[in-house]
Amino acid sequence: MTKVFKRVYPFYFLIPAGIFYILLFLVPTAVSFFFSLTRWSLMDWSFIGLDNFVTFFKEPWLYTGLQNTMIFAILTSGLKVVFGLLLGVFLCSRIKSGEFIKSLVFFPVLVSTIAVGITFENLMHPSNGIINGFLAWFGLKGPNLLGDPDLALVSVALVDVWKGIGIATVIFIAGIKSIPEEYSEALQIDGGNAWHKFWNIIIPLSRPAMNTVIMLSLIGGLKTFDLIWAMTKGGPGFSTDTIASIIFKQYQAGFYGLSTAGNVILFLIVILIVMPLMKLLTRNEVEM
Amino acid sequence: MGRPRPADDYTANKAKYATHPAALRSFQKLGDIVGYMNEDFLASTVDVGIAMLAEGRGAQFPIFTSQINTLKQNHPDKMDDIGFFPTPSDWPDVNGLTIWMPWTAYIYKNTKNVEAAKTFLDFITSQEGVNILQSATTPTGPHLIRDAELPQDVPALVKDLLPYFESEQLSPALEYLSPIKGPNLINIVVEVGAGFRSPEEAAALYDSDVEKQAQQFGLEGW
Repeated sequence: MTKVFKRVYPFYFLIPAGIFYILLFLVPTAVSFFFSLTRWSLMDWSFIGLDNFVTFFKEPWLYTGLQNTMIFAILTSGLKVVFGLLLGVFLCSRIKSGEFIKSLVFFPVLVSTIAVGITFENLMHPSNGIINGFLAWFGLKGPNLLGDPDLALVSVALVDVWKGIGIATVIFIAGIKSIPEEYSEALQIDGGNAWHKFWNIIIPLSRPAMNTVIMLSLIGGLKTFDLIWAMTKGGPGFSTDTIASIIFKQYQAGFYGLSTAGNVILFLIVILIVMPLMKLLTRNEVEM
Repeated sequence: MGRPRPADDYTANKAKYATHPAALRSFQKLGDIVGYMNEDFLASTVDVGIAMLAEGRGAQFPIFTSQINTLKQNHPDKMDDIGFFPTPSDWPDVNGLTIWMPWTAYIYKNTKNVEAAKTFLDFITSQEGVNILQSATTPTGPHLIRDAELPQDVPALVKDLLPYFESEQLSPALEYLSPIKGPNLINIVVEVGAGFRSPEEAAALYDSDVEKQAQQFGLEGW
């Protein structure tokens, strides 16, 4: 092997990174797989086999949580693709104060999620919030965005889209900018209009960017926790619980073995959804 | 009907919220409040609730008397406008108070300064020490220190508590009588109070939550 493929770096170069990888990633992963099989109080543990997994699947609110997690992940991921692409195309065109608008779109990404959550919790307050105050101006009675169990999850998802759209837009801008000019020139010679450019050049050729946005936002959506906790704490009742918030509540209650088992399950769910999806998405990418 | 004593049976996995009459009644009473709350109750904080009482926009707020300090800070002129009563019982002769126990002070077993620590504890439990505490915070109920006296001018709310202590019509909260408590109680009671779930269904659901807690902590009999 070494004769055919010359090694770029000597072996000892890899040792520091290798040690960090083993200590910070491999060991904790192995340890958490082990503790998911125990009743664990942080001080001592006893081995109970798969009982934690049985208990986790028996959680009465697990299925609401699973459903919410899927709705949240698909909704936020889809909206980020659509609006990220549109904003990306818009910001790639020659517009005045484009840089300013770019920073405006990216600004929410820089703000702490908890701060965003608390801010929107107040904006969405049913009687004192600005959103319903604005609607009242037109004589409309605004909905209870976070208090109505049918609306709360969608409200949080929309805030997540607002907060994450900047990253999606930046990825789309990079993708669109990397499309060679020749395609547009050929299109002009052939007499194509802006719509043709969008549909036949930008969409197929920004596919790698789109796939990155889908993967990142879907994984982010599947393990979403901080925004939900800041805005609703999984409530009212259990109506905005996600797998991650269910696990957090178990951890808070001191069920360390059970919550570790929950994390192992969440890890498997993310892998089971993301791996085939990644294969499917990259297969459809075209050569530039 | 006789007066049930659920705590020990509860710890021993013999009494259930879904089937014990007194325990189930507590969920049903919670269900009775559906429709009587302010419109935005799911978004209301404790401060808002206290403000509603003080400003006369609210009539009743089921909460600990320890919130007297919120009232004192935000609405000091309304201290004597607000009183207290325990949730009425189905057994009028035991219409009592549920109490949350006061803070305690301990001495670390391996300390080098046992005598100094004891002197300090003697001081904070003396009338002099209690007076200093009372000058800094409003007492939220009588002291658990023998012969320690409350100030003359306790708020109306605390005065309402005292007869229950004198007649011993009280019980510590279940948290002090049993190690069993399910982690999802808050979410479940919100569902009942908001009318999302029936009290009977909620009681059964809470029983399963409790079972999980007891098993996770390895308690006997579960």
